[in-house]
Amino acid sequence: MSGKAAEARLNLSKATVLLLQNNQTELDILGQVFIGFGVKAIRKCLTLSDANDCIVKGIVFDLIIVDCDMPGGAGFDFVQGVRRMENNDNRVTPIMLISGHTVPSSISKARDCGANFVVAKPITPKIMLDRVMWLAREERQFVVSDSYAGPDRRHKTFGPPAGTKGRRHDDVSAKLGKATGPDMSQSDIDALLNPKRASL
Amino acid sequence: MKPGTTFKYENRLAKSVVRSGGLSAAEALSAATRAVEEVREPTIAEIDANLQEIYGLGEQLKTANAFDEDALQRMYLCANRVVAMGGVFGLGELGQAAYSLCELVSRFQTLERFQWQMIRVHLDGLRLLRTPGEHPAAIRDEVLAGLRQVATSVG
Repeated sequence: MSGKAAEARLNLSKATVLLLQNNQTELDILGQVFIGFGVKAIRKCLTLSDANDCIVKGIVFDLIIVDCDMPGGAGFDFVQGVRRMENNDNRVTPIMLISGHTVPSSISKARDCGANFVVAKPITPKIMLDRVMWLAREERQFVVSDSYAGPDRRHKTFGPPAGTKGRRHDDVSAKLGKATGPDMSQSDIDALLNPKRASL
Repeated sequence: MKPGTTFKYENRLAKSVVRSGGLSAAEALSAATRAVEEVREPTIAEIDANLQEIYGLGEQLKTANAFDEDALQRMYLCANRVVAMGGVFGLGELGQAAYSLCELVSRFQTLERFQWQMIRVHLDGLRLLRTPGEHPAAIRDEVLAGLRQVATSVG
């Protein structure tokens, strides 16, 4: 095997994608991007009711793209609704919000509606490919609480705030306890800091 | 209030990242760029239609010379569409100027204020950046920097 890692490739030919966008031209641009990526099953919805129909009819999507510039924050409401559908497989589908100019009142809605990612317009093939690859590697846990349902909003876990115990069963205290084993040798430490490529 | 719960779930999209078959990133980009090119004409037409509407609303605001919530909201929506579409076909700077206009209008709406000259300079900027090839890059950069400065000076 050569030293160079094999390049990741994208096979979306079996993926089903839902696009919700209330402007026909923007919807067409998005649709063309995914056609280029090889997606064969694309549901293009101009209205919230069309998109809701697709979801409740039981079509299982691998990716949902929602425009958050829809009037009255309809895009955010749609995402929130999907995340609360307990018996629907789309509840955990990766959802990407796309946004043009965002008024201050929408920023917290974008963060709290339960989408995996917000991407700024204009949407070009390069930007969309990067984000799709990122979403495909998404490993955050799903959180359900009274006020939020969606992927964990923390991309990195830094532990609970200083001075608090934390609310999760796997929250680890920042306070260090006494050592329970022998000290690591210098070579063990060096090995941790200078990882070597495994030869297979 | 009930405590929150967390659980792991299957990311169905993960199956699309493969080591063989499918498309490489370069192939996917090239195919998507070709596919998007098919909608260039209607997109440019829509950008121009939105710009015309913005200019028309500008005339309306100039005549009224007062805070007009409805006209400003329509101008915001049109400018936001230019933000979305401009950068797809090489009019990224036009999109940035439209973004600055959105920011300006949004601030006017929040403060219920209005100043025609600030709108006018944005409309001039949009007209100039619609034909970027006719103006040197340094001028375009200066125009954009000026627009941003105008928009962020409100509030």
